[in-house]
Amino acid sequence: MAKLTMVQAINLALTEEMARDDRVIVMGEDVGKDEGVFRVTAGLLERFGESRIIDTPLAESGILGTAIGMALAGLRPVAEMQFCGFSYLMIPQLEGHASRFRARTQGAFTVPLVVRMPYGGGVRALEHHSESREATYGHLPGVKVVIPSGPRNARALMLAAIRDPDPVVFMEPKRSYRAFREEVPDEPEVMPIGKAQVVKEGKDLTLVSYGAMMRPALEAVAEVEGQTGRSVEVVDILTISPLDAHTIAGSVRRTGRCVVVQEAPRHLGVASEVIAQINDRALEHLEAPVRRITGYDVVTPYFGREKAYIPTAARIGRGIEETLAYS
Amino acid sequence: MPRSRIAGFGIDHLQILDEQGEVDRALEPDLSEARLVELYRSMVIAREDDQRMLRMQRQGRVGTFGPNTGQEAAVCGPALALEPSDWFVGAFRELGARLMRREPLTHGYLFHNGYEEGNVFAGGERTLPISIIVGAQLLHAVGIGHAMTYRKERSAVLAVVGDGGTSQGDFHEALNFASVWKAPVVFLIQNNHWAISVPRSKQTGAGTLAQKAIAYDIPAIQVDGNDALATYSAGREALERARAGQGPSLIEAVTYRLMMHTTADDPTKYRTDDEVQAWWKRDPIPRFRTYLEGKGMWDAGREEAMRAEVKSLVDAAVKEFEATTGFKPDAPFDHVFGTRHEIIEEQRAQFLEDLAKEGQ
Amino acid sequence: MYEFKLPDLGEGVHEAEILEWHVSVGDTVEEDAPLVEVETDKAAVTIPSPVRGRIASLAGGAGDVIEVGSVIAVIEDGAADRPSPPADATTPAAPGAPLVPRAEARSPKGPVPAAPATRRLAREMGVRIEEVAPTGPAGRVTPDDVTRHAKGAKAAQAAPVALDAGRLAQAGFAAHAASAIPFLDMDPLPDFGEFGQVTIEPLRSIRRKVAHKMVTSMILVPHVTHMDEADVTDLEAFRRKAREGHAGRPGGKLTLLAFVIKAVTAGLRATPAFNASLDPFKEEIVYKKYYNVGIAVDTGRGLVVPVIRGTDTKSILAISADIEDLASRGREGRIEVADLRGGTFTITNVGPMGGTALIPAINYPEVAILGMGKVQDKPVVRDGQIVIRKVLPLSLSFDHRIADGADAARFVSELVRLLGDPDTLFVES
Repeated sequence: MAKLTMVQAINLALTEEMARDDRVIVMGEDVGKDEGVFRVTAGLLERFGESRIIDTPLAESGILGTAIGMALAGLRPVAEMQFCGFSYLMIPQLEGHASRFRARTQGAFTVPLVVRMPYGGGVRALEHHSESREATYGHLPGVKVVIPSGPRNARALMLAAIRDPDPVVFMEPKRSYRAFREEVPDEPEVMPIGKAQVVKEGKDLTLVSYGAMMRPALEAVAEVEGQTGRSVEVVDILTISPLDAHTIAGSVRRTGRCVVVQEAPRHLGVASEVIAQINDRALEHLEAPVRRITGYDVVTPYFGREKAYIPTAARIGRGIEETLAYS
Repeated sequence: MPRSRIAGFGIDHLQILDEQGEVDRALEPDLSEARLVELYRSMVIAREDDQRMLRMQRQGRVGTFGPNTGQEAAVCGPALALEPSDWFVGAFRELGARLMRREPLTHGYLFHNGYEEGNVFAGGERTLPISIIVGAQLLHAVGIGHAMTYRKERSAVLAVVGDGGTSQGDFHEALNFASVWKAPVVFLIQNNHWAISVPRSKQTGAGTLAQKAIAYDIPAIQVDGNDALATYSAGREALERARAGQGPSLIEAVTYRLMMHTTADDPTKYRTDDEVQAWWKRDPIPRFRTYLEGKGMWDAGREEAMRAEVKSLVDAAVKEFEATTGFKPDAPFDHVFGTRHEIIEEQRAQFLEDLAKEGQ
Repeated sequence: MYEFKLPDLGEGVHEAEILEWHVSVGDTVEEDAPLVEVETDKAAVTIPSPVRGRIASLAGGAGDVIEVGSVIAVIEDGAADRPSPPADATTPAAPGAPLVPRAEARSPKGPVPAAPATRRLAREMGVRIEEVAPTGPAGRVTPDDVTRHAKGAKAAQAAPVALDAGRLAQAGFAAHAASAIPFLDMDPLPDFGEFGQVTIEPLRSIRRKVAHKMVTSMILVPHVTHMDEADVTDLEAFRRKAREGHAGRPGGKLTLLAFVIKAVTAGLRATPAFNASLDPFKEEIVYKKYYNVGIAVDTGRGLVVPVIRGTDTKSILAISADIEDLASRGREGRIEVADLRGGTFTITNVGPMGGTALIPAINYPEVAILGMGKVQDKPVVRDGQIVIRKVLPLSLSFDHRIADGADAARFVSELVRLLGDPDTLFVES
C-alpha cells in the first residue's frame, strides 16, 4: 500500500499495463519528454522508449484517427487529449469511427482504445481549460465514458479501460489530480466499467455524483448528517456511459429522496439522465422531487468567477436539507 | 548569402497506355498474361456490377449508391499490386479494388440495401469497410501502418481518397503523421474532377493534387488514372517502398466520374454533356482490351465468353442476395459493446417487445 | 404477374412525374430494358424493367405524377403474383388495439398533489387519494394524511385533528394556525359513557355521505334564508279536482310538490343565479341552461336527493309521475347513482311530516334550496276581512356569494304569486 495522488495512481496504472501488455501504446501531445503537462506520463518514455511513448504532432483528430488505426490493427493505444477543451477536434473521429466500427462490422473490426483527458475547473486555468463535457461524450452510442473520483478508483478504472474491448473516454478530474492522497493497493486492482459504487450507506436520502464533485458532496453530506442526525447514502457513478441505473435506482428505492450533483451545465446533463432513470425505475418510491445541483447553462466563465459557478459543499448541503425537508 | 534556394520540387506525370491503347514499351510493366487478364477481368466485373446496381437501384432493389463507372483503372491497377497481407483502406468508390480483395458481389448489394452484413466478409480482415466520412479513413490507414511498423510486419497500407477529400483537415493530418512516423502507407487520390457538384478547380488552388505531398516530404506522382498500367506501376513502386520501410507515398490518379455522384444526384445540373462525352473517349476498359489484343492475348471470342461469364456471375450474385433472409432484427444490440450491459439489454428486450406488438 | 411499384429513386423522394414510356401495353419487355423515363425533384432517371414479360398495364401517361410505392406497371412474367420486394425488412405492421380507453373529461383541478411514494402508499392501503384531506405544503397529501384517512373515524376519536383543513385550503380558505382561536380545530369527544349508557354504531354509507356533504355545505357556503307564505287555497281546490280526473294514471296523485316544482322552474328561468354553481378555484359562475330539480327523499337509511330532469319541458302530470316513480324506488332502495347526479336545485318538503318553518341546508355545489312546510288552514286578512285560507310556508336558503337578499325576495315572491293563482301558473310556466 502506498499513499498516492491521482496523478501518481494513473501513472501507476499506465506503467503496470504497459509492462504487462506490449500492445499498449501511449500517445499524445507532450506525453514523452515533457511527461505530460500534468506529469501523468512521468517516467514512461525512459522505461518504454519512443516506439511506445509517442509525442504526436499537435492535431487531436490526427491523434485519435491514428489511434483508431492502431486499435484496428491489434494495438491498445492510450491517447491523451491535453485538455477536455481541446478534445472537440477529435469528436468526428470518435463519433464517426471509433464508436461504430464494432456495430457496422458486427464485431469483425473493433477499436479498443482509451482517450484520456483532464476535465473540469477549479484550478485557475486559462480559457478552454476548465470545461466539463462528459455529457457530450456520454451521448455517443458505442463509447464508454469513465470518470474516477479518487486515486484508488482512478488506478483501478484505468486498468479496466485499457483492457476494455471498446473505446473508453477516460475523463480525469484535474482538480483532484493532486488535491488529496489515498491508499492504493500494491497489487493491480481492476474495477468493472459500467458499475456505480455505493461509497457510503444511509437511509434518508441518496446523493449521486461523480468525479471532482464527489469531494464537496461528501463534505456536504457529513455536515448535514452532523446537524440533522439524518443519514445520507452516497453513490459514485464512476461510469457515465453505460450508466449503472440499477445501483442508483436501487439506492433511491431505499431512501425515497435524491440529490444529483454535477459540475457540468444543467441542460441535458448526466443529472438529467440519472433523474430520468429514477423516473423509470423508482418513481413510486420518491417522497420528494429529485434535486439537481449543477453548473449553470452558461459558457464556462474565466477563473476569476469560476468559484461561484462550480457547486460548493454549502450549495450541495442546502440542496440536501431542502430535499430532506420536503413533505 | 542572404537569399538562396534551399529546396526545389517537381511533380512527374505518368502515362503508359494512351487513350488509343498504344503502350510505351519502355515503361510497360512486366506482367504475365494471367495477371494482365486478371486486371482486365476485374475492371469488366466492376463495370458490369456497377451498371447492374444502378438498374437495381432504379427498380427499388437496392438503396442509394455511388457508381464507379470510369474509375476502374484508378483502383484496380494499384489493387493488383497488393499482397494479401497488405491493408486496403478505401473511401466509397473503389468497387473494383474491393472485388479484387475478394469481397463478394453480394456484399455490395447488402451494404447498399441497408444491412451491416455487407461490411464483413471472410478473408476481409485487412480490408476496411467503406468510409463515407470524407478523408477520415486516411488517419486510420496511418495508424494501421504505424502498427505494422511497431510489430515489425512488412505490410503496406493502400489508402484511397477523392479529390474532395484532399480539402479535409484529416487528409493533411494523415500525411503529416505518416511523414513524421515514416508510416508504410500509399495514399491514392482518385481525382475524378467532381466532389458531387463542386469541380476540382474549386477544391484547391494547387495545380496538381499530388503536389500537396511535397509539404510533407512525401514522394508523389500524378498518373493517368484511366491507364491501368500506369496506376499499377505507380502503385507497385509505392507499395514496395512502403514495405521496405521507406515510408509513405502519394499517387494522384487523374480519372473521371462518368456517372452521378450517387443515385440521388443529377449531374446534368452542374456539368455539360460534352465534358462527359470527352471522358467516355478515355474509358479505361476499351483501351486495355486494345492493349491485350495487340499483345495477342485477347480476341472477340474470348471477349464474348468472358462477358457472358461475368454476366452470369453477377446474375447469380443478385439471385443469392435477393434470397438472403433472416436478418436478425436485434443484431445492433449485439454489437454496441464487446461487453454486456444491463441498460442495453433492457432496451433490447423492450425493442423486441415493441417489434412483437407491431406484428413482426 | 409482377406488380412493379415505383421505388424511392433518391433519398426520401415521395413522387415522380412520368416523362415518357418506352413500352406500351401488350409489348414484351426484356429484364433491365428501359421501361419509363421519370423525373423526381432530384433527378430525371430511366427506370429499367425489373423482369422480362408482357406489359399488362401501365399507370398513367406523360405528365402524370406517381407516388413512390404505388404500382407503376404490371408485367406478365409467367410467375406467380407478387409485388416488388419491400424496401425495409422490418416495416412495422398496423398498430393493435389501443391500451388506454378514450379519456373521459378530467377534473379541472387536475391530479391531487402528492409525492409518488405517497400515491403508492395510498394504492397499497386501498385509499383513493382524491378523498384524502391534505395537510402538506401547497395542498399536498402527505403519507400521514393517507394513513389517517385509512384509519378513518377511529383516528378522529383518538386525538385532536384539523378537520379537512387542507381541503378547505384548496377551496380557497386560508387556515391561520396562528390565530388565537384555532380555525377548524376540534377537540375529541368526551367519553359519553361516563354520564350514562350509550350504544355506538359506526358512521356508514348514506349517513356518512350526508354528514360529509352537510359539513361542506355549512362551512363552505354562506347561507341566508328567506321566508314567505303562499296562499294555495285555489291551487288545492284545482288539484283535488284534477286528481279525480287522473286517478289511477301515472302521475295521477298530483301532489302539491309537482306544482311547486313547476313554479320553481319558472322562478329559476327568471332568476338564473339560483340555477348556477360557483367555482372558487377558477373564480367563475357556471350558469346551467338545464333545469333538474332534486327532491329530498327519506330512505330510512338517510337522506337522498334524486333528480327530476328537464322540469322546464315536462308537464305537471309528467313531473308528478317522476315523483311517484322516485318515491317508490326510494322506498324499495332502488334509487341508482345516476338518479342522484346532475341536479341544479333542490326542494325539501317536510310538509307531510309537519312543521311550519325550516332553514334548509344547500345541497352543495348547488346554490339554493327551497323548503316546503306543512299546508295549514290559517286565518288571513283579505280585503280587510279575516278569512280562512290554506297557507304553504316556504323558505329559500341561498348562497350569498352568488346572490343577494333582493334576488331571493323576488324569487320567492314569484313563487307565492304563481302558487296563489293556478291560472297564472299554467299560463306562465
